[in-house]
This record gives sequence, structure tokens and C-alpha cells, in this order.
Amino acid sequence: MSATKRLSEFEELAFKHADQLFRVALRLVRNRAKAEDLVQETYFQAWKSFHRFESGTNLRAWLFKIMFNSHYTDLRRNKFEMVPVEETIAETLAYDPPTPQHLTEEEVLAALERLPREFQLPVILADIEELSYNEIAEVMQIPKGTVMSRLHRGRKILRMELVNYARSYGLKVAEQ
Amino acid sequence: MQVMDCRNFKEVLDSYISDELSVETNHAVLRHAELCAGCRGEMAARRNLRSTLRGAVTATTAPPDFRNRLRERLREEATVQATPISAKRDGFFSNWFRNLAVPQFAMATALLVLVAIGVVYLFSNSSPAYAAELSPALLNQATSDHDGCASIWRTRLFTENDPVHDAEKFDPTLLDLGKYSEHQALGLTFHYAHLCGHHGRKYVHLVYSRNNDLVSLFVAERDAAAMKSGTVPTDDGLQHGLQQFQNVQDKFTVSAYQTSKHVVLVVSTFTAQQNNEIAEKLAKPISLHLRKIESKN
Ligand SMILES: [Zn+2]
Ligand SMILES: [Zn+2]
Repeated sequence: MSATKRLSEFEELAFKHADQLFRVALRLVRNRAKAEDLVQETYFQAWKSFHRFESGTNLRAWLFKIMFNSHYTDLRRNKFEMVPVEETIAETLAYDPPTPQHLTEEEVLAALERLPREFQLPVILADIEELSYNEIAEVMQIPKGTVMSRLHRGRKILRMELVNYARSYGLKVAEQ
Repeated sequence: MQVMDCRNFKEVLDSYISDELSVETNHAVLRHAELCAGCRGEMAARRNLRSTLRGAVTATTAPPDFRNRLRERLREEATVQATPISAKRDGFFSNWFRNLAVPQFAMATALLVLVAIGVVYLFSNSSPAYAAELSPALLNQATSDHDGCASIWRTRLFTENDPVHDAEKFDPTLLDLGKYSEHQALGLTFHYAHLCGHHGRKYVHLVYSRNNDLVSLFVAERDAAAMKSGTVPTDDGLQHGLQQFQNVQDKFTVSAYQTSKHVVLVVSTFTAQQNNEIAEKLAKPISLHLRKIESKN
């Protein structure tokens, strides 16, 4: 296959994930120009190793993995290296009130923004971008158990924020 | 046969929606939902929350011309890849001539790339190591103490209504530092101050929280080990303003102010922007206070 034809094939398959990658990149670098750079770099890297990509496997998860890897490399180069700290088991918050109904996009977005970054990314990857827990573990380079505990806690914190919000505005929260 | 109560149901509900449960647990969820109206309602509410969340976030898309820029760059790279190495190494003019043969847009991109490479080259060669950059050792220590020391108190902080008063057991001048931070402005609660000491370094550790999240403030000595360069700059530190560091796993954000003798660090799992806002209210006033003390000595 000619290089141009292969490139067209790559573009056809990979470009449809650009919006998803861009959204997550924005969470990683928090600046539109930098996010665009990161996604461009991701596609560039992906294209370079496209010959190694096995058709039939999940291209989207593969692109995410390249993006996180590239981001981690940038951080390692520019910032400081972390000694891995053993993950503490997320404590179960005993109180789990019912999830409020009729929430607006603004309300849930505000709650998402307040979520600590550690929990925000897994929640975005699972609940918005619909990656599987295994894929998230691979993409973020953390154990699946860690993904699950962060998701569990992140989703709970998010709901609690929304419950508190609903209460403060007198919205109906069904009591059990 | 697995029996599921309302509590178990809620615990696994999100994984059910994500289709991450085993076949048996899936069945148990469905059976429980059939019998329990309350949990059916919760299932609907969580699905709703998820789709609202998705709607809100997916409204953000890549810039309109993003794909075109990307396509141009990739096509340019494909051309370069197809060129023998010797031609690539011939430098600017051979590239220039080669590019005359390709369409206009690719040529423009090539020029831009060359300019960009030039800029990067210039910076990487001429900019000295940022003299006031903090050492990885100090940053690692601050984040691991935040994770270790402060988290030990987590359970107590969030299960007892009474704030922890252990600060009183420590040097009263340390307690004093907490007075200068404007934590109330951000809805933070000040819990305690103590002298923390690990790995041969001693520093003041102040612990704050907001909702479920802890914030640590450390006041460390600005010594050689605290600086990446290994030498203490002669400036008063404040000119560097707010510095921000992110760790590799994206777990912690560190924001710092420096004075001539101290480094004031704020560590949390908040976003960089939030952590910076917090540092402005906590670390900045404390660093200004420290500067006053230092200038008297
Ligand atoms: Zn039930
Ligand atoms: Zn401590």
C-alpha cells in the first residue's frame, strides 16, 4: 500500500476520535493551545507506529494510551519525578443519599470541576468517554483496583456535591 | 444465587451501568431492581446524571480547523519519511528545493516547522536552568508527607464534628502562622499545625480541609537541598511569584512561594488552578509575613 493511501486510511480511522482526545487533553493540560499540541503529538506518534497497530483492537483506547504516555513523558521531562506512593484504600463514605433528579448541565459540570483531579480523570474516561475499567488502567498506567477505587470515590463525591447543591436550592431530594 | 440488598445494589450500580459486572452480579442487580421501586428510581437517576454529564462535557469539541492542521502536518511527515536519510541531513537548502516539488500548503508547513525547530533549538541552548526551581527531593517529600501525614488525620477530620486541637500541643509560634492565612475566604477549615520531620528535614506542617479534601501547607527552609540547582539564589524569592508543579501520576499539585530564607508550599489533589488559588490565600500572606520577620533579622 502506498504511503498516501495508508495515511488516508489512518486519518479515516483515527480522526473521528479527535474531539474525545481533545476534551481529555484539555483536562490534562488546561489550556486550549497546549491541548491541541498534545493531541497533534498523539496523532503524530500514532501515525509513526500505525504499522504496529493490529486492526480489530481498540483504536480509541490505543490513542488515549499514546496521549497519556506523551503527557507523562512531558511531565517527567519538565517537572518533578514522584516516588510512587502506595495507594490507600478509599474509605467508604457511609452516607449515600439518593441521586437528585432534574439536574442541569451547568450543575453537573460545576460539580465535575470541583472533583479532585485524581478522581476527575477516571470519571471522565469511564462515564463520559466510555472506556472500560481495563482500558482506563492501561491508559492511566495505574492498577485496575486503583481505577475502581478512584471511580467509586469520585462518583460518590460527585453525587454528594449534587445532593448538597440540590438541598441548598430546595430541590426535591427523596428521603429514604 | 446471590442475594442483593439495597446497599449492595447502590455500591455496584455504577459498575452495572458501565457494563463491568459479572453475569451473576448483573442478574442479581436486575432481580433486585424488579422488586425494589426505590432502587429502580436510583438507577434511573444515575443514568440521568451520566447522560447529563456526557451532554455537558461533549459540548466541547476540537477547534474547527484542527483536523486540517493535523492532516497537513501528517502529510508533511509522510513526505519526509519517504525521503532518504542523506537528503534529510543536507540541511535547509536541499529541504527547500525538495519542497518546491510539493504543493504550496506543505511548503508553508515545512517553513513553519523549520521556524519552530529553530525556536526550540534557541531556547534549549541559551536558557540557563531556572535558578529558583525547587528540587524534586523537596517536592517529593512535601507530596509524600501530605499523602502520609495529613491523610492519617483524614478519618478523624471527617468523622468528628470537633476540629482537631492538637496544634496546641506544639510550639505556639507555629500556630501563629495559621493566623496569617486567609483560609476562610475559600471555605477552608484550618485543622492543626505541627512540626513535621522526615528525611532529615524539619518543617512546619499546617493542615486544612474543604469538604472531603485535604490541603497541606509546608514551610521549609530554603537551603541548597531545596533548590534544583543545588545553590540558594541570593534574591528575596518573592520576585518569582507563584510557582506550580505537577507530579507525574497527576495526583498532586504543588504551588509554592519563596522568601529569602523559606519556601512555602501548598499541596493538594485539587486541579492546578484551584491549588494556585488556594496558595494565593494561604501561602502568599504567610510568605509576606515571613519576609517581614526575615528582614528584621
Ligand atoms: Zn432496593
Ligand atoms: Zn505533618
